[in-house]
Amino acid sequence: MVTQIIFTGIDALPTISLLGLAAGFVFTFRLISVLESVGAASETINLLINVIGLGIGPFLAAIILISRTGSAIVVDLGNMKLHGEIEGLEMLGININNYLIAPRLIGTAISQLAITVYFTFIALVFGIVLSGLLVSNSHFDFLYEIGTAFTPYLVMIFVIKNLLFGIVIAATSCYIGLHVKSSPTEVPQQATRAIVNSLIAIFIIEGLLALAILQ
Amino acid sequence: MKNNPLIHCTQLLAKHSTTSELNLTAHAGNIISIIGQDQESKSNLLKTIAAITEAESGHLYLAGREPTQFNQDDWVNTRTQFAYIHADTAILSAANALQNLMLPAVYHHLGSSDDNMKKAQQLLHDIQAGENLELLPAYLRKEQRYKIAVARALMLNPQALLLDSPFSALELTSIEPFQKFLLNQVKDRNILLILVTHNVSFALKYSDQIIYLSGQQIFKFDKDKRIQDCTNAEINNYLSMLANNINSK
Repeated sequence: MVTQIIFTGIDALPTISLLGLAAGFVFTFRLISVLESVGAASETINLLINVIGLGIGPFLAAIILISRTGSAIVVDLGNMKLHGEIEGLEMLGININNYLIAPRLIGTAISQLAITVYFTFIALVFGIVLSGLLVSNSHFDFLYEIGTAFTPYLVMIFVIKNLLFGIVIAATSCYIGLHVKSSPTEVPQQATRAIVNSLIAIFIIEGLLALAILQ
Repeated sequence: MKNNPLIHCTQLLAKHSTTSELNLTAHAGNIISIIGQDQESKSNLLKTIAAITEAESGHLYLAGREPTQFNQDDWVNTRTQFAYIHADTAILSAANALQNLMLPAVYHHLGSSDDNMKKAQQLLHDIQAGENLELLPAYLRKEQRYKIAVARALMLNPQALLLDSPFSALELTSIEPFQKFLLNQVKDRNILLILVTHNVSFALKYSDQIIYLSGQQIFKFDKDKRIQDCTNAEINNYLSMLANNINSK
């Protein structure tokens, strides 16, 4: 599980940092500017939390996870299945759900949560700082307001959503990875399948959660 | 008085088998060789005896219990106590030899870390696993990987070792030391050894029972009813064919 967290979470930090900076400029900075120009500056914090923290943050982190970790899990488990390593473990009385699947589920879920926190922090702080430097010094106040605007309810939704994303990505990838049978050509095919299926699953969960939160 | 048999089967018929049913009683410390021309039938039979594949019919008892009655814990226990290894059994590709050996012991919480380490090192030494064991399995020879797989199973102190073609993964010069290693395991640990093999000289010399699979029939031999004295033409042809092969080498 520690290995999974290191690969999924820590090794992904450079990519997440770049994406965070890009999202800070593209979304945070522009949102602040647009909201100010239409006279809705009072809604800035709410919108930033909803769009960056609960929307784009988990979603982009999930896409990074699907492309890096999801495909890696399929290739890893697929090759293990292909070469008989999984059968070898089962012959030793080792339950692969305990030994191979559970650590991947838990590790990926924790990593999804961690990298979304990191991504959201960078995207919000960078966008606000940029806006404070380039547009108005008063925008630096958003930094203080954002800390208090994350209510326990929003934090709960944030945590649940990210853990759910992580578990679904890992579960889909493990399930599909274990479907590799006897040909090496199946591994890349199943990796592609896992990416597509994970994306669909994330879209569906995103939609369902959006509906649930709205109600 | 003899102990209860580790493996007992009555009228056991492997799936897709064309041979007759097998009646077998195997005790700890026994060596049983399964020989015959059809490799697939022999492998199928061994897998059935190991309770890895379900039997077509008949009864199988492992340590006195029928595998059909096993729950999850029984299954785990059976797999640790009745170790089945075929020539291509894979070890974990992401772990070196020592880590591969430690894995099952750590997973099943057997002994302390230090004890397991010492035991693993001793097993690797005894089985003559060779050099460069700190490397990943992909960089080792097939023979080394096979020996590591056998040693890994022995880490769990199994009561029975069921080996499918154990000598086929070995180089010619390694066969005799490996045979000695297996014989020592049987003698020192009182392990039941059942092997599918073409190595008739080993089977004739050391087996308590020999099971010969012909196309339609199973023949059983032991010290009282010796295979060398058999008059069956197919068996005699098989034995002489293998003897000629050995001589020509």
